[in-house]
Order: sequence, then C-alpha cells, then structure tokens
Amino acid sequence: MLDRASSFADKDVIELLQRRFVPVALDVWYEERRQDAAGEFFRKVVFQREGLTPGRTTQGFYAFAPDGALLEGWNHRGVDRLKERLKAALDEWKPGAAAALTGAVDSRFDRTLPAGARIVEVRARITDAKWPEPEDEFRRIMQRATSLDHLWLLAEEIESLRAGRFPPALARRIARFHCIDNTRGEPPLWEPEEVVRCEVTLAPGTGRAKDATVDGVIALRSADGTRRYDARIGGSVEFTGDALARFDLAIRGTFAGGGEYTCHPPPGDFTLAIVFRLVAPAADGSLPAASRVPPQGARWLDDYLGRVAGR
Amino acid sequence: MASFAPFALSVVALLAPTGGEPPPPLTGADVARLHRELLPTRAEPWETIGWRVDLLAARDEAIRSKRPLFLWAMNGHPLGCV
Repeated sequence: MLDRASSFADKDVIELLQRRFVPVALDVWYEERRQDAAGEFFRKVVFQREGLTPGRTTQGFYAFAPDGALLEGWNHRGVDRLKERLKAALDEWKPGAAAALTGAVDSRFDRTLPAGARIVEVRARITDAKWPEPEDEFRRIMQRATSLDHLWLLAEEIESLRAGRFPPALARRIARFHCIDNTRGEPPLWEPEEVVRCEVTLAPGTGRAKDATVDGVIALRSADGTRRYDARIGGSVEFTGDALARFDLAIRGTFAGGGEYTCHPPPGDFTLAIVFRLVAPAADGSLPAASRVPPQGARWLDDYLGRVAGR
Repeated sequence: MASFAPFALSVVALLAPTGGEPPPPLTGADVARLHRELLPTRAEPWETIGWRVDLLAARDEAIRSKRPLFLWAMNGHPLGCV
C-alpha cells in the first residue's frame, strides 16, 4: 500500500506508465515457483538485475523489453527514483522482434475463480490505536493504510445463503484468511487450531423480502500467544431472484500483535475493522484488475477453499 | 433527587468488554458507517494506470504496441494484499 499511496499516485508516473509502457503487477510467490513459460520468462527477466542471486527475494521494479532484455531493475521505493529509472529505460529502449511463448500452464499455480463463484472486495484498517508519532512519511502512510484483498464465495455457499444459512466453511474462511491485519505487509494467517470461536448466523431481515441479517462472533488466538483478535461480524445479504445482489459485511474488534512482515503494530490493543462488498462487473462484463488477483490465502488453494479435511 | 449517573457508569463499567469478551453486535448503521469509511467511492489514482495481471498476455500486448514492459513485483500481490 506504500507504493499505491505514494509512487503510483504521482501524476507523472501515472502518465508515463499509461502511455509509454505496458504495466504489469505480479505476486512473486507464484512467479518464482511456477514451471511454465510465464515463470521461466519472469526468472529470465529478474535475474538480470545486478546483485540478485537465487535465494534472494525477486520483488522489485523492472523495465524490460518483450524479448526479456532488462532495461532497468531495482528494489528501493521512492517516486523520484521511479521516474528517473522509467525515463532511463525509455532512453535505452528499442523496439525489436520477440518470439511467441507457448506451453501448458503449471496447474499447481493456476488460480482461476471456481465456476459459479463470486468475488468480494475486502478492505481493512486500524481505526483506533495508540500510535507513536510517525518517524517518516512512509510510517505515516502505514498508520492510516487501508488494505485490499478479495474473498471468493463459492457457488454452493451462495446457494446456502439463499436458503437462509450462513455456511460454516465460509465463516471459517473469513476467520482464518480474512480476519488479518494486512495493513502493513503480508500478515500471518490463522491455523485451524487458532480459531477459538467462529459462530456466524443468518436471520431473515426485517426490510425487503430477500435480505437477511448476519451476526456472529469470531475469536482468534495465535499458538505462540503473541497475536489475538476478538471481533463481531455483522451486515446483510440480499438476493434479487436467485442472484446474489449484496454481500455487505463488516467485522470490528480488538486486535493485538503483529507478524514477521507486519512490523510495528500499534502497542497494546487496537481496533481493526474489515469490510466486505460484492464486486460488480462493468457493463461489458469486465472486472477491475485488482479483483482478478486471487485472495492472498489462495496460495494454499485447497485449504482456502475448505477442501482439506480437518482444516 | 439522587443522581443516577454513578449507578449508570457502574453498569457500563461492568458491561465493558474485558479480555476475551466479544464486542457488542454491529448494527446496520455501524456496518454502513464502516463501509463509508473504508470503501473508496471512486477509483484511486494507482488503479487508473491500467495494470495487467498476466505476464505473457502483457508481453504479447507489448509486442503488438511496440512498448517496453514495466513490472511491479512484490511478495503478496501489489494490487492485493500489500
């Protein structure tokens, strides 16, 4: 979120990327591992970066030609550096030929939305905390950040909601993979045994005929005792005919602790709020780019979808 | 007339959540307010860049349009978790 709020909010950067480049955003967890044409091309590009050797993180920024020749590669954020490097890349760039890349996709890393599933936008923010005075602009951004992720609702879960029941598997997915403080980086997720309480109900609404009210309690405790979340979930679900029209939920509660990649949590207890909203396709049926990104938890797809016995 | 304020405050203190106690239910107004606070009402600037999320499709587009590619790669998807 630091780069979204700083470098990629700069109007000069936006114009350069819109008009002079084909911009692409990827999660290196997939690209480092997949054994197919996309993974091989990714590794071909990034390992040209000076100082990058196997075993080190490949995250960073890369300007390159379609044949894979690296023009500029770096791993330090900052809008001035970004502009300088983009302009340098354009100075070095010469259009040339590039052969097509084909071959089967490594199915282990394919994250296609299951048939009949719907995508829900998920945003989280720390809404109340005893933050120390921020040391710099990046720390200030982090303290106010709103994270972005997505939840996948499966077809059978939508059917269950329509029938008036909040499916336990969906409640567990929300608890384990979305009741997370991802406002400062990749957060630790929750193991099954760390879900102390997860009770979510659906009751007929008192308003329009097809909406229903969600209420529930979620309590999570990390095994090492350093992290916890005690929260309430609420909201409403509405159908228009058989189609899910609204999935407007919110979770709010007291969180404590951080993770290896979510350093500097607020001291003591803080309030973490999370909201959920159904993603609506555009008139042409297309989805926003961000909503085509699989949920963070989908790295462990079978676990995320509740297909691992006992988890 | 005796003030009920101390009694009311005592009741609130007794009902206040302690460690492990679930928070009170979220009302419809609570949910609506949180949605207003956390959900953007329009596209944010970074979203207007037109990010692709498929490397090979982006490469094909770059060949056709005779442009270089720019890759933003992170642990955790840059358009998602982090």
